[in-house]
Formats: sequence, C-alpha cells, structure tokens
Amino acid sequence: MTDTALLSGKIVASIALLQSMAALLPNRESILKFVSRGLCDVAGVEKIEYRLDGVFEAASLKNHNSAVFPIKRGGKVFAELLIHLYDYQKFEPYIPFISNFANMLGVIFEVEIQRKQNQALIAELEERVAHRTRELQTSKQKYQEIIENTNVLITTVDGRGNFLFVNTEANRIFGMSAENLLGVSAFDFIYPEDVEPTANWFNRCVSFHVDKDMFENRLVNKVTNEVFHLLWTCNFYYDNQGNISAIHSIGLDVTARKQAEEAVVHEKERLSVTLRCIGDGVITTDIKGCVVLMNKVAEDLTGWKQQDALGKILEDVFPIINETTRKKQDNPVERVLATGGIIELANHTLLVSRDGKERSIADSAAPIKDKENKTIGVVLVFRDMTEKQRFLEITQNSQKLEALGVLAGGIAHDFNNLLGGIFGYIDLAQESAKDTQAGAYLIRALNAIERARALTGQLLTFAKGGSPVQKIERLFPFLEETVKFALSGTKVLCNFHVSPELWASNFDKNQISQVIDNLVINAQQAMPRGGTIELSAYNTTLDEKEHPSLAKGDYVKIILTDQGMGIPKELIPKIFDPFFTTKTNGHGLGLATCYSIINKHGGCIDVDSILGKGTTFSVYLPAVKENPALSRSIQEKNHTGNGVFLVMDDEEVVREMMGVMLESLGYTVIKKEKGKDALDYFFLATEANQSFAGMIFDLTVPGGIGGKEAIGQIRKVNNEVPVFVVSGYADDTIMKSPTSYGFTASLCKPFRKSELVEMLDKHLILNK
Amino acid sequence: MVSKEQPNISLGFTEEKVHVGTHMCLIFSNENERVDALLKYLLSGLLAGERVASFSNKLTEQDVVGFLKQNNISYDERKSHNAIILAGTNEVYFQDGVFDPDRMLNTLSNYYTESLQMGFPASRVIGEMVPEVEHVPGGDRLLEYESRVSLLMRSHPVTAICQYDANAFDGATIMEILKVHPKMIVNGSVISNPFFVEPEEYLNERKND
Repeated sequence: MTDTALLSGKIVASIALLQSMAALLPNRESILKFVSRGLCDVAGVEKIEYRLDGVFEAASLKNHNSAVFPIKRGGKVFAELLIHLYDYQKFEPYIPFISNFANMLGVIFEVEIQRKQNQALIAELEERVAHRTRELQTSKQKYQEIIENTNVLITTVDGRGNFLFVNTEANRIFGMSAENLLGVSAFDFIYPEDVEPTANWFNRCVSFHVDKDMFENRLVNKVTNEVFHLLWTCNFYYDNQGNISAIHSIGLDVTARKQAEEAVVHEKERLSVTLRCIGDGVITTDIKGCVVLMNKVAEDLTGWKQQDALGKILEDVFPIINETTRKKQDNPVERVLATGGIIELANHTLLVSRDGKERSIADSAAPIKDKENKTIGVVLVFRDMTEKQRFLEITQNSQKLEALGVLAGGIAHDFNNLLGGIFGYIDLAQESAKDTQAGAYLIRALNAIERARALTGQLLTFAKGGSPVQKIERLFPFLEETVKFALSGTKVLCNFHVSPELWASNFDKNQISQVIDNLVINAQQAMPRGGTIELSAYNTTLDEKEHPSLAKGDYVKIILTDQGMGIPKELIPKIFDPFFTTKTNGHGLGLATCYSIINKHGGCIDVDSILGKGTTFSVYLPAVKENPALSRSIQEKNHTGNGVFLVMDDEEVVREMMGVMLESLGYTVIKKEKGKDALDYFFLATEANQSFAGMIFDLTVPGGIGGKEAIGQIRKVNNEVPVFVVSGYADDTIMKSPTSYGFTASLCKPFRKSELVEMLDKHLILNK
Repeated sequence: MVSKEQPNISLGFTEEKVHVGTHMCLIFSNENERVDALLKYLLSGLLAGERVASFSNKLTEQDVVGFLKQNNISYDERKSHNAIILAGTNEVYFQDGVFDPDRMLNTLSNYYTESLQMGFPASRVIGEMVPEVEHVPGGDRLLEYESRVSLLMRSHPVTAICQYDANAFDGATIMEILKVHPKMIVNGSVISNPFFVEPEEYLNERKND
C-alpha cells in the first residue's frame, strides 16, 4: 500500500450526486454555491472558494495547500474552484473526480449560457410577438374605426348579391341602416338604367372567375331618391366548386366628380360647337406656346389637322411672314405673354400653310387667364383676308378704271369731234385732189385716221364696257394686224394659216381685237424666252350637239397655239373664272373678258393644254356667208339733193365740215352752234311754212340742248322731217337705236363724206 | 410507538419501494415532470388505501380531480372519507404569516395520529416549500424544521416528499436542504442522500453556530 488514502465511496457518490444535481440549478452562481458546499465533504478539504469573474488561473496545485480547478469548455474558462486543503494526501485520490466534475460543470455552464441566450432570444421573440400582437390589435381596432367612420361605402355580398356586411356609410347612400340592410339584395338600390349593365358585368366577372375588378354604377337612396355615382373596387371569392362565396367591395362616392365631369363635358361640347360655328380660325396654346386646340377653320387655313398639331409649338403650325419683306413675323404668343394684353398682327401678314400656300390674314391674340387672373395660355383668332384683299384691290382698280373710263370717254368724244373735222376736210380734200399724187397721200392720211377712229372707238368701249357694236366684216387681215401689233417688240413670232374662202362674221372689231390681244399676250408670257404662235382660221359647220355650247350652224374657227409651259389639268376648268389668275400681278379678268366677249357674239372659246408642250385656244364666231359691205374707201355714191339742211353742233370745225359736205351735195345749209338756236329756227321756219330737206343734230351739247333733248320737241311739230343724230359716243343707246328715240338714223363721229352720203342716200331717197 | 421495521410502499412514479415514513426531498426544475410524479405519488397512496395530503400552491385541486378521474377514482368520494387533503403551502406552512416549525411538526404528528385513528394503514404527505419562506418570520428555521421532521418520522412514520424548486432557491440553500433529507429523488429515482447529516448532528451543529 502506498501512502495514498483510499477512496471513500460516499464521497465519490456525493461528487456524482453533485454532478446530477448541478444541472438542475438555474444559474452558475447557484451551481457554484451548491458545488462549493457539496465538495466540502471531500477528504482533505478545508474550505472551498469559487471565482466566477476575473482572470483565472491555470489548473494547478499550490504547495499542496490548495488546488485550482478551472471550469472551462473549449478553451473558454467560465469560473474556477479554489480548494483549500488541510491534507493533500487525503484529497489527492479525488482530484481526477473533481477535475472531471469541473469539466462537466464547464459543459453545464456552456449549456446554461446557451440556454440563457436562447431564453433571451425567445424572450425577444416573445416580446416581438407580443408587440406585434398589440400592434395588430391596435391596428385592427383602428381599421374597425376607419371602416365604420370612413365616407367610403364598404360592403360584402353573397353570390346572390345579398348584403352580408355594410359599414355605416350605407345610411347615407342607401337610406337604410347597416343592420336593416343585411340580407337585402344590392340590386334593389341600383339605378334602373344601370341594373342591366351591372348584372351583365357581374355575370361576366363570375363567368371568367375574375378575382378583382372595378365598375361604376348609380345607386338610389330609398328615402331621399337621391342618386349617387359609385366607383366600385370588388374582390371576388370563390368556394371549392368555383361558386361565388362572397364579394368584398369598396364603393367610392364619385357623384360630385361625375357632376363636375358632366359639366366639363357640356362646357366642352358647348365650346366645341361654338368654335365650330365661328367663321374665324381659332387656335389656343398653353403657356409654353404649344397648340392645345384648333377649330375647323384654323385647320383649313393652316393645313394642319388638330390631332397632328396638338403639342407642337405655334410657330410650326402658324408660321407668319411679312408680305412685303418676306421676313418672319414675331410669334404672337410671345408678344401676348410679354405684354400681358391683347395684340393684333401687323398689316400685310401672310400665313404660310402646311402645303406652302400663302394667305393674307388678319389676326388678334389674347391671353387666357384663370380664376386667379394668372395667364395660362393664349388664344389666337384669325381670318383669311386674301379674298377680301383681292376684292378690295379689284374694287379699287374698278373705281380707278371707272374714273379712267369716264376720262377716256370724254377724251374720246372730244377727240372724235376733232377727228370729225380732220376726217371730213381731208376727205373733201382727197375728193378734190382725186387722181393726183396729193390725193394718194390724202388716202393714206385717211387710212391713218381710220385707225385713230378705231382707237377712240376702243376707248369708248373700254369706258362704257357695253355690248358689242357689231358689223359684218371679214376677220382678215384685221386679226393679222392685231396679232402683229400685240407682238411688236417681243421675241415671239406668229405663223398664220388662213383659209382663203374664210367666211365673214358679224363682230365688234374693238372687242374681238381685245380678245386676240389677251390670247396673244398670254401666249407671249407663256414663252418668256421666245417662241412661235401658230394661228389658223377656217370655216366649220357644226351639227346639233356637235359642240356642247354651240348651236348648229356655220362658224369661223380661229385656233391660236403657243409653245409655252402649258396649264395644269386641274386649273383648266378655272381659267375663265373671273379673278382667277396664276400671275402674281394679274387681276384674273383677261380670259374672263375674252369668254364674255365671245359669248356675247354668240360664239364660244375652248382651251386645251398639255403641260410642258403648250396651250391651244379655239375661238368660234358665228359666220356670215353674205359678202360684207365694201370698204368705205371704195364705196362711192353719187348723191345730189336740194332744200334746206339744219345742222346743229357745238364744235365749229365739225359744224362747218358738215356744212361743206352738204353744200357740195347741193343742199342749202343753216348751221347753229346751240340746240336752242336750232330749235328756235326750226319753229320759226315751220310757222313760216318753210320745209327742211333734213336736219343733223349733235347728240349732246355740254350745258345746252343737244339732239337728245331737241328731237322730242321737233317730233311734236313735225313727224316727217328726217332728223339725223351724230355723236362721238358711238356706244350710246340712242346711237345704236336712233329710230327708237325719234331720229331717222345715226352717224358716229368721225365720219367721211361717203358715210354721210350713204346715210342720206338711204333715208332721203325713201323720203322722196 | 411504531415498530422499527416499516413496510415498503410504492411511490407511484418509480418502481423502487421505500419504507413508510421515509423523508425525501425532490429538487425539481421541470414543472411538468414534478406534477406528473406527485400525482402518481398521491394516486399510488390512495390505491394503497393510505391517507394522502398535499400542501402545495402549484398542485391544484383541478389537476388532482382530473388525474384521479382518469384513473377511475372519485376525488369527492375520497375527500368525503378524509382520504385526501389538498391545501396550499401558505395556508399550511405560514399560518398567521409566520413559519413555526413546532406548529408544523405538531400538525404532522396529528396528521399521523388521526390517520391511524381513521383506520388508514399509512399516510403520506407532499410538502412544497416556496422561496418566500426566507422572508417570512421563522423562515430561517426551515432547515431546523426539516431536520426535526427526520426525527419525527422515527416515531410518527408519515412518508413525506418535500419539494424544492431549484430555480427558486440558490445552490447553497439546496445543498443545505440535501443535508436534512436522508433520501432524495433524482431523475425519478429515490437515492440515499450522501450529504445527509443525521438530525442530532445537524441540529447540534446549528446550535453551536
């Protein structure tokens, strides 16, 4: 046996029991206290201390007086037992047991720490759960309060639409309390017109097993009959068989919004109708100058459809330039926003439409303001002034032409009087110098005066604008001379192709000359670099309906063809319209006048054009197959007479010239400057039973009695005496129809002796 | 006086049998296991015809009634025969707010005597001590009381289980409690307590302290 003490079973059992019991205790402190007390019974132990915190010592024996047992686990020391010994030898056999026990305590401590951590975690989780539960309870309470106090209608209905739940908002909407509504069909409250749409929507949702949908309908309050618009958000719940088990719905009362929307719709409709009815173009923009609205007229004038223009800046849709400078005009929106007031566009503003067409416009722009007087946009109102402008110009031109015409008419009249004298005397001189060189020159002078007479006639036609003074004559060489005269000084030539047997026509030389002038000038302008006009004329006989506008008969057809750029097909129907023109400075009256003149002659004018090749005008004039009267120059009559001829003309030269002519024919001539003097003489002579071979009265005398006034008084006394009227106003109705006014015949100034002879011969012979 | 050799009885929760009059302590940390063990202890006593008593705050009448009913024993009937006594810890131990070991020992003594007089062959008791005892006047005499119970059991053999909650008493107190109970129940088994100090010795040490 060694000195080593024997193990005590009781002590070993105690240590084992300590191990079993230690695990029961709740914490380290308690365990250490328990163990410290328990190990005191181990042999050799004087007392036991434990240290739970601080720096632990390594396991050791201290001079056999004490022993330190760390309580550790995995390198971590949780505590230590310091055992004071009074007898090491007795204690020594228990060291392995205690050491093992200490290790086991390490395990217990670790578990205890883990358990505490778990407990802390569990406690935290429990606290979270408790907190969340409290929150949910609070939240649930809040939701209940919200559901009951909200002004949103909340309902639950079963698959048949019967109420299972409604909140207190039901009182206001349905006029019934929530309790009384339970089991009642929701369909009982639907506005009659909305029952079918609601049922259809409901059935559709059920058929397609819709989970959630929105719907809008109207409900009727059973007490007040007030109608409410409800916007529903519905959640559908189905059972295992797919049948509706419940529908939870939230109904938002949108009555006020609906009424406002309807008011806005009505207002928009009214505004839309108003805008459509406005004859002016209207464009509104927002504060940034982007287009918000435009009416039909604005669409037509700008060439932009509203849907294309919306959101675009105004300058894109409404580009405006100065007509004269062609410079871009200021944006009216910017000007309105800068000034804050109404502005008007400057004169001569052109709107360039989307297709490039330019229109003269008048425009004003004004700010749009809201209730707070804040500018929220701009409205432009504009109108197409192009036609008005053109009409104004034409009116102004017409007025100018009228004034010019009056002036021209007066000049022509006076000029005719002068020519009358010149014409008459040269005629007389030529008669005297017949068959001499001087006589030949005088014939040339007479031809020139014929042209001058035609010119004054044209002036008078221009001034009066009246109906043609037609005479049966041959068109050539008259037309050839007219064309050549019109083309003189230009780079354009004309080839003539005239039928040798061309019929004559009953036409007004001046007016037909005007037609040919217009056609030739158009042709010349169509060939700015020069070219050739082909003019042909031939006879044609039309059958019934051979030409859409002409009756059956004989016509002279004049065809004038140029080599110009041609007329676009779409413009051909318009070219004879008054005021239609493609020329920048044209008045659109040229071809319209041609059409009018030919039409008044009983003819027709047609046009045919090939773009890029040229244009052909065809003029039909009714033909006269009889030979026209011989030229005055070759018509000579041997007229002689006798008796007294009373001649009245305020122009001395004419009066005297007529006197010479009549006297050369054998008459005794009484010449009076004034109409009153002539009448006085007539009445005195009549009282004295003096007869007259005839009388010639000037139609008008400025400030005195002319033939117009005198004839009536003469006819009162003598209805037989031949009274002739002469005048420079060839277009005057009395001159055209002298017998209707009591005259025997008329003769236009200036006239030649032969013409006077022809007239006298014709009428005085009858009298004879 | 009682004979020296006491018969063995079943405790209900373990197959081991103990002598009548055994003074045991049950240090528990799991409430469910404790209740389960005690109910079985009471049941086995009743089944053996013993008189049983429980002085516990936690073991309720409802628990006992339900458990007995499950085992075809009518609580009311047994109660009417005074075979079962259920009372709270405070009601029994802290009468008038004081812990008086002498009164308690007298109560135990009377219980034993009454039981015999009532014809019960034996009696058993459950005593649950609570940590409040440390703050109750006389509470510092708890260990003296327990040690004296061991003495009393020699003459008045009432089988007793004293319950202590390991979570409620600190380790030092638990170790002291072990010293005054000759037997202890550990993990459902009754074992001899190596820390037990005979009452004479223990009481003498306390007297010297």
